[in-house]
Amino acid sequence: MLRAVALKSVDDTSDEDLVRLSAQGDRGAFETLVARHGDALFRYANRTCGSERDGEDALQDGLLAAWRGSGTFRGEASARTWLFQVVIHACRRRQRRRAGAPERHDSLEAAEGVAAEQRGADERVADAQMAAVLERALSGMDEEAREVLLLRDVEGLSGEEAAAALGIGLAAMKSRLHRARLTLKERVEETLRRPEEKAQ
Amino acid sequence: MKLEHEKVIAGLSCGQVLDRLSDYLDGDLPAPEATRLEEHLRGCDGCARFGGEFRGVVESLRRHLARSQTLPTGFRERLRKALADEPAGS
Repeated sequence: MLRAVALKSVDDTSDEDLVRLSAQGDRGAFETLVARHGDALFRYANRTCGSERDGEDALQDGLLAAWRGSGTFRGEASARTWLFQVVIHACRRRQRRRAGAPERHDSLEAAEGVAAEQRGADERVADAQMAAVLERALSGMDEEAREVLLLRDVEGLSGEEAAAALGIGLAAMKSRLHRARLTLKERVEETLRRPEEKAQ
Repeated sequence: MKLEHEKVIAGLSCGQVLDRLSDYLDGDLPAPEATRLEEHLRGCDGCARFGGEFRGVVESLRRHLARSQTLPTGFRERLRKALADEPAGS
């Protein structure tokens, strides 16, 4: 089967077959996987680790682990889910190593200026400003909540994929996601409301 | 979840509606239950407002943050060099 796969253009090859080819030492196949999913994996790592530098390092750790472990891929989940699993673990390892280090996430207060600036000019939140508010709200959330929101609501993994990537059951993922969404709503509203309350 | 000033409309309390909002939004509620929830929302301003804000925040995550960042320049080249030093998958 893989011989036939190898005759196809790599662009036509499924993610799962690219992982299997990677396990045989095909670096080009692995680089194609990175080309397909690298942006989404980077966004996840960047937002989980709290800085582009740490996110980049965690992603590289994760991708090297995926390359080394590609022979262990059994196809029980999609290749995309498997890649997220490996990168999630890399991010968690990096977070644990940094556990004693000072918190580097921006505080919610940093978003107040964004909210205050836009409030006077226009009641509607401009795209860039809303993105900044969301980024800061996310960065201040606990790891479990942030992970599930990034996978499900930002990167668009299905419920089953997100649950598999996190290594939990579907019901537990749904419950975690609902709590996380409620918390995010509260944080975003708090950020947007705070300047007004201070002015009173 | 129990809320202050709870109403029961279409057999669902406001707290029950709140508990089901994510499943409703994700299309995971069975059709009869989704219909009852929609009926509750039509009759309850508080839940309709809360639900609309809830959906707005969830939708804005995807709209504002998805595809907003791409791999940094040079990352793939650095990865390629790192891969060259690593044995094939096992």
